[in-house]
Amino acid sequence: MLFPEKYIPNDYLREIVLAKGNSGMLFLYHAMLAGLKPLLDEWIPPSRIKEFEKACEKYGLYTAKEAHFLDLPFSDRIIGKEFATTTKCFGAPVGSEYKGRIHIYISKSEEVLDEGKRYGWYPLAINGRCVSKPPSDHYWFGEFLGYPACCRHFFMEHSNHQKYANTLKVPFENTKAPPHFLCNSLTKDSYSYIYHIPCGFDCKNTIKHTSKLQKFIYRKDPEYGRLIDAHLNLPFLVCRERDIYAFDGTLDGNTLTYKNCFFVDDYLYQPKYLDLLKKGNRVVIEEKEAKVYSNQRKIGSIQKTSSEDWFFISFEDR
Amino acid sequence: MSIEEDFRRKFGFGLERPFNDYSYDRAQDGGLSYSLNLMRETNPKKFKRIREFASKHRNLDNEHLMLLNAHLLYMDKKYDRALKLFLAIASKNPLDINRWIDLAFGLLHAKKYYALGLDLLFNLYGYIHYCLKLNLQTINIPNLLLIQRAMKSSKDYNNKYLFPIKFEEEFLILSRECNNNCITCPNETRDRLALDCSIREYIERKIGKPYIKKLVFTGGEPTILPDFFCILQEIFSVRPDIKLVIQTNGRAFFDPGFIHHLGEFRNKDLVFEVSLFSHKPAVHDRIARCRGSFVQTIKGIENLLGAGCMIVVNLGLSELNKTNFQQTLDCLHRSYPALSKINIVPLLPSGNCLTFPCRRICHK
Repeated sequence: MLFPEKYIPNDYLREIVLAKGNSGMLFLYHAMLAGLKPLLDEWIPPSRIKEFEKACEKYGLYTAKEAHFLDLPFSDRIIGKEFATTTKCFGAPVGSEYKGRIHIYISKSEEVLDEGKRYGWYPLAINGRCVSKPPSDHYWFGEFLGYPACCRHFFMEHSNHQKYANTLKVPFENTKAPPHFLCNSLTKDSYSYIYHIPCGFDCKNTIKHTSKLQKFIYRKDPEYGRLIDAHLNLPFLVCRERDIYAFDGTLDGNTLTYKNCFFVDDYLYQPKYLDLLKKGNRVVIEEKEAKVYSNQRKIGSIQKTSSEDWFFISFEDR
Repeated sequence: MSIEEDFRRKFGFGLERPFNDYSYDRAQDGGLSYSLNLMRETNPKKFKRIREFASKHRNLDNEHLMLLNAHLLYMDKKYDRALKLFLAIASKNPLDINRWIDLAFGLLHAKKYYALGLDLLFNLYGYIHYCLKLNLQTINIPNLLLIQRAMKSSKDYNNKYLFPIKFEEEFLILSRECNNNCITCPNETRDRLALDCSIREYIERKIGKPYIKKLVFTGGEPTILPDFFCILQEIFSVRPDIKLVIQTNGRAFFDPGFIHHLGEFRNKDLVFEVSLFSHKPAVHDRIARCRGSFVQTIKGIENLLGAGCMIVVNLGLSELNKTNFQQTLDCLHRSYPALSKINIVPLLPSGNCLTFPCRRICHK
């Protein structure tokens, strides 16, 4: 079964999943404990934070809280909203009266935690204003998060939501070899090995890093490893970051045949095309249009525009 | 050709950042750091030449070059040195929110000041407001901590974080220059530089906000500004309802010609807060560090009272006047019963106060 809501490990890292209340980013804890990831950051509801900190302590992990993230709708009057990332949140200090989620940093090393947390600021809306960190902080934060240097440099040069309607199209167009499933971060908030956007979906450094993590996960929790692999070897429709559809099917030339369609991350965006795609079982992809069919009958289409610059990509292991 | 023009010609982008008062409601200007980072990624050779340019001009007291050097140091992770420059740049114009934002990230990375930097990011408007309220125009770590204490202990400051902060009282530094040089001044003598922003635009944006009920003109000495009365006229023509407080040493009002201009503001809510240190001329002049300032200040108070103006005397307490302080109070009550109020103003451990023998009586 694809995209089960939660995965609860039987043993390794079970306490952390139970404390968090979800298994999102579980692979990042594996990466940290495997020595592949110096730092990670999480968002935990205040009601769960104490239990979470205790669970981290059990695995020898240190934590540092930074801010409350509050998921409220952004209005046009927020000054500097153009700096907001895909995570559009209001912010308040830890200890303030709000619920929301607490942004917390985790590391195996106290020194790494102390240094890394200084780079992790998000452009939260505070008193009606978003404040963005200097660009070099993104680069160094990526290093603390364990991202390969080539991917970080690529991100620094190309990650610009104002310039590109679909920032994921840039690494897609930079992919020279067939996309490799170990470079697939499209399902990063559910089942994945990586959280960063690679410089190409064939990045050798990413593959090297991810292979080590895959081996580690298979040693510690093979069931989880198999679950991740099943989610990576799929075709996808990518409209933009966080607006991605996975298909239980096969992409052959310009035709995608599938049994089911899933919206990868319903946390931030509403899935505009999910209803249409769920009704169909075949997509014929043309340059500016993707025609959706239910058997032989065309039931709809997805147009490509300047603000909707989607692409299809398959990581199928052939 | 200026250095800024030379830089732009050589590298294709500018060093200048337009003044961005926190009341302008404009997004931060991160253009310089963005351009530098992009250049580093896309054109390392040109970026190397930028470093050489910055290094060659490092010792010039040019704010744009200071900013360039600060951002280059930041990119190289030399955060303590970058922080020194960010503090100096913020001091040059503490009204500009871009400088405070740079400062916040500088603090975030400095070993000891992470918590302070985070607090500044959550309370940007509060820090700027209280900085102006305390008239601290030198931004350094002790002053930031002073501001933080004043902010947190104030009943009026209750940040809910989710909404824009609207202060009913706003402070405007009209001029940093002053014709006194008081020992008690929270700003150091060497920081008496002109502001680099358009006063007019700055005032227009502030008085355009209906929730602002009171404007306080501070300085330096506001009356030194050549178009002081024009500014008053403009403010009251747009906002006849506003309360305007002028923090002054009162010396300009010694001149009857100067007082005469006040006639047109007769029905306006205009208050003068005049700084005085003693009823004894020698003591006052010694603290103000200007011979003859007592005579002019007292005459100024008398002329203002004669013109029917509302006067508050700010009596600064220091080591040099503490002995006869009660006598000064009694003398003011007797001689000028029409005074609205007398404020006793403790010193801030900042600026000139730290250099002279008055620091033992500092506001804690």
